[in-house]
Amino acid sequence: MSSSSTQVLDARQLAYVHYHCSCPDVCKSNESSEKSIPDFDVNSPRVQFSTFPISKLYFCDDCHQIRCPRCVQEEIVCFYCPNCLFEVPTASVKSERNRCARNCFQCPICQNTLSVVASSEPPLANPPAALNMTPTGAPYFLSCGVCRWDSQEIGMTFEKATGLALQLQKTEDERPDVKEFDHLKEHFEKHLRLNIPSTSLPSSLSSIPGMSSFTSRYGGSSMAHTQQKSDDVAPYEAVGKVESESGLVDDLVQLKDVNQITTLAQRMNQHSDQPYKRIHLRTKRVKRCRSCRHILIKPEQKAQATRFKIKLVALNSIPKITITSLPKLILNQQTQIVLKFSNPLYEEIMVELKLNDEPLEYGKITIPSPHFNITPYNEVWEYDEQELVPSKSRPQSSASIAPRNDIIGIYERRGNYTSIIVEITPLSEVEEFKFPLLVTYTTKSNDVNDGNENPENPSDVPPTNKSEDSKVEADKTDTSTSTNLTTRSLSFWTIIGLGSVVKAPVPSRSSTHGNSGAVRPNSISGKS
Amino acid sequence: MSVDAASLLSRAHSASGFHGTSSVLSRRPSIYGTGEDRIVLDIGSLYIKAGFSGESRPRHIVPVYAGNMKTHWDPDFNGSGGVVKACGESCRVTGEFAELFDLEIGKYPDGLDALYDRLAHYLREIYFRCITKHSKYLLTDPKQRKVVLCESPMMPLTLKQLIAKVLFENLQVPSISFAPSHMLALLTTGCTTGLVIDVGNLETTVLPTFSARPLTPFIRTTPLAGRALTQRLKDLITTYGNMIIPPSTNQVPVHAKYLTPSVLEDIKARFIFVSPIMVSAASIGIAEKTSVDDMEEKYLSVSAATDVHYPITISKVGRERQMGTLIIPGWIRERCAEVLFEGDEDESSVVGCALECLLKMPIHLRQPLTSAILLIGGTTLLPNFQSRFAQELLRALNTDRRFSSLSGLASHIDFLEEKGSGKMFVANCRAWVGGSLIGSLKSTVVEISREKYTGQVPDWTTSNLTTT
Repeated sequence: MSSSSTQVLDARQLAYVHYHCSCPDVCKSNESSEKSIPDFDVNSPRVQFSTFPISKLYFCDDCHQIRCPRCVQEEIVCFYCPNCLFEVPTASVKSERNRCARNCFQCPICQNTLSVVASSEPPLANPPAALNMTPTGAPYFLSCGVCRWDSQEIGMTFEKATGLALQLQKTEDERPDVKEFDHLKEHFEKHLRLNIPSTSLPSSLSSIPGMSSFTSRYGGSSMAHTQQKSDDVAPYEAVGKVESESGLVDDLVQLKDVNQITTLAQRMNQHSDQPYKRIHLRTKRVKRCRSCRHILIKPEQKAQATRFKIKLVALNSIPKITITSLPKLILNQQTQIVLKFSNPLYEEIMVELKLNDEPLEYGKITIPSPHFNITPYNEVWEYDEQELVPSKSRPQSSASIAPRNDIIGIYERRGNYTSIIVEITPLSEVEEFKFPLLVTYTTKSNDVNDGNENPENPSDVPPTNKSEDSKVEADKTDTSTSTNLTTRSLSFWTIIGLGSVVKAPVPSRSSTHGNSGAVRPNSISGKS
Repeated sequence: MSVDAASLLSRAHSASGFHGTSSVLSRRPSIYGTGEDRIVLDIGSLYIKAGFSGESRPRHIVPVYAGNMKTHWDPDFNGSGGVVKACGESCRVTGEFAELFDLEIGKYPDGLDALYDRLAHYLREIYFRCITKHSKYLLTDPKQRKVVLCESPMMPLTLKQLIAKVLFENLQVPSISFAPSHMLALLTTGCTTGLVIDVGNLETTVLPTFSARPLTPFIRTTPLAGRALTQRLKDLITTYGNMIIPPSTNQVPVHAKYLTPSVLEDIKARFIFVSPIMVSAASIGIAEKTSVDDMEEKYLSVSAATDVHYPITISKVGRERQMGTLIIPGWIRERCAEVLFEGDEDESSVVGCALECLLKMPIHLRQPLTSAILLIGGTTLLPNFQSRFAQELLRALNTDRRFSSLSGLASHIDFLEEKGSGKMFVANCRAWVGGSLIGSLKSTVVEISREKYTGQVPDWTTSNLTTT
């Protein structure tokens, strides 16, 4: 039994709605010259990189298009330490190696934040100046609150509780590999200076420039080209030497406890021999639309502030789709799931849903009501959940758009959302049942001056008879025949993931649901 | 690659026409100022190394995953094969540790577009944000910094073009310089002459470099490298390893599904070493390859390493994980790497590959290069790799008839890491460090700027064609 509950849990976790961003400006490879929107391949490996949860998406008002992390340009506004929330000036970021220059350190064992702890004797009793004289008994050390590592283990103590990074700076600069690197650089720079005249000759590809000559510094080689000027680098003397660890193999041969060896994750995190690591800085970034360069996201400059000056996120602009009811998907049984479409806009929108033309191999999907409308968003509903749909918009829409579909397949209408029913019959036992859904939504506003949605005017105008069947390409803003009435429509693909399909536990239940799609239970539609 | 050695040698002697001399370069040499730092990238099939020029080690070594960008939870982060990846600062994502590319680009199952997506994803992550909670990247604006790209000589041209496309089109970097990784690695020893042997993940590449010139026509490669080692490790553990899956305490055979790439990588990095004792009689040339079924018999009695109990994730549900124990026999730890030293006619062993390279070379270059062997690449980090390599080299020179003409070199074998600064720089980062060095020097490097970028990249194979 535990295994079946596990599967349910997994299925819940794997359910998602992801929005596809075609990134028209970034991926120029496949131009969409064709009129109709091609089918969407949910199993393409590219989907992983082109679909996102709605929380990751932005919306460019000027292009009237969804923007994803791939098709925004980012500019760094400020650097800050995520632990102490101090801003770091851009000039010193590089020299600090993108790390906090104050007191923030990471545990070398478990990577949690270390805290500065005073040793047992009260340190404040002694003035710090006196302690400088006796460096052995330095009163502060770093301690990990999670794994109990402390820096006294490696003999790292501090005289002062502040500016720890500065106190360590000296040892960092004296690392042998830094010295060696600088020495190497000097060595080759000297060589380059001496060989500057020879750069008139073509130098070898991506190499230290100089003439091509085979005079070897291993003097003995019998080269006939001694008349050519040597361009070989002078023998190099290293400043330090690191010997290979001789005991390593013996230790490995006799290894008993696996935890004696650093894990790959620890090594990845810390490929230096320093036993401590300062906390890495984070950035705040401005995000711009790649096509029109308008700013989509602009955070406050201050590190502590969490507000955004500009925040054009998709959540506020396109209908949000949520899976509100997801029963277990059973093989060859028709199941009804409920998708809730919420309208974030202050105007009514029409939604049209479309599946791939090609039917899915592993299941049959029917949307009884592919056309529906969603009433505008209104702050009042935030507070008054019980309020039903206001009567003024409901009959109007149902009369104009799809009067019959309104009855069948609509699960619920409330506030600024409409829930619809999708009937699903899995035909094979797949790990992850997912299907693509093309969502086209149309807004109408009679004020197009600035291209923004205008909140003060929900659709008083009766909607024109739009022929959505012509399948306008996404992002087509067409000014309709009427004087100042504009309809804007946007199409985007989504992927609805519903988790895994299980075999029917007892095959007796589904006598009526056997015919997939053909049976539409009317009882549910009554609820709307 | 089909240029024969004689004509190349003559061209090398003519002091100007070596393959490396691209006409593009001689027309517009660019002198870098030393003030600006560049981004140095070393894009491997398993790890991307990234950092700033002028620094002595890469800032980050980023493992690549197959990459599912959406999943917001992943409890499986710890040493034992945990893999965490995030699509942003807050949400973290699972994905299996997986190779970014293959050398046969045509074999790439999902096509180049998918590879483009993955590359773009990783490079963007590296520039801007953190993939895991624990490693954060360069935090820099790609538009402002030039890029030095360490390239392996055998990197497919298509892949290079793809990388350039991502960097120029997606990240809009101002310019890219391509630098051959073997030579970069050599520079970190302070020398410009050496036989550089890169034992990476996909293949082992032996490239002699003389006076800072990579002698590309003499290059030798063999697929015996990190990936072959991983495969051998997997075969051996599934055949001879055991597991304890609680609550039972019995040992059961290992199912291959538990040996995920990241688990294998972790085992490889932590517990495998190269045995100091040679066993097989003739392990290069026409040597016998031991089949996995015979290995226990062959190696068990001549290995000393202890068995290791390795905690392994059996299953996970949400944040709950069930742990089991994987028992790795000691002889596997010790003898797994034998695969690198067992060659046949099709696949030379690592040692055979190096000797074949020497055999191809002009006689007067053999001795200086034999005395300046440099082992780089992640697989050479296996403890004891270098000394075993030396042993095998000696044995091959003394016993293998193919290399009898080289036997005089036996007394000259020497490693660059034995001299100079020793293991000051880690072998898997040497190419990167060299890139960092080159990037900070006033040096002429082939550079293509975004304005001049037409989709083509300079490559030694194509520059050969243009100069002839």
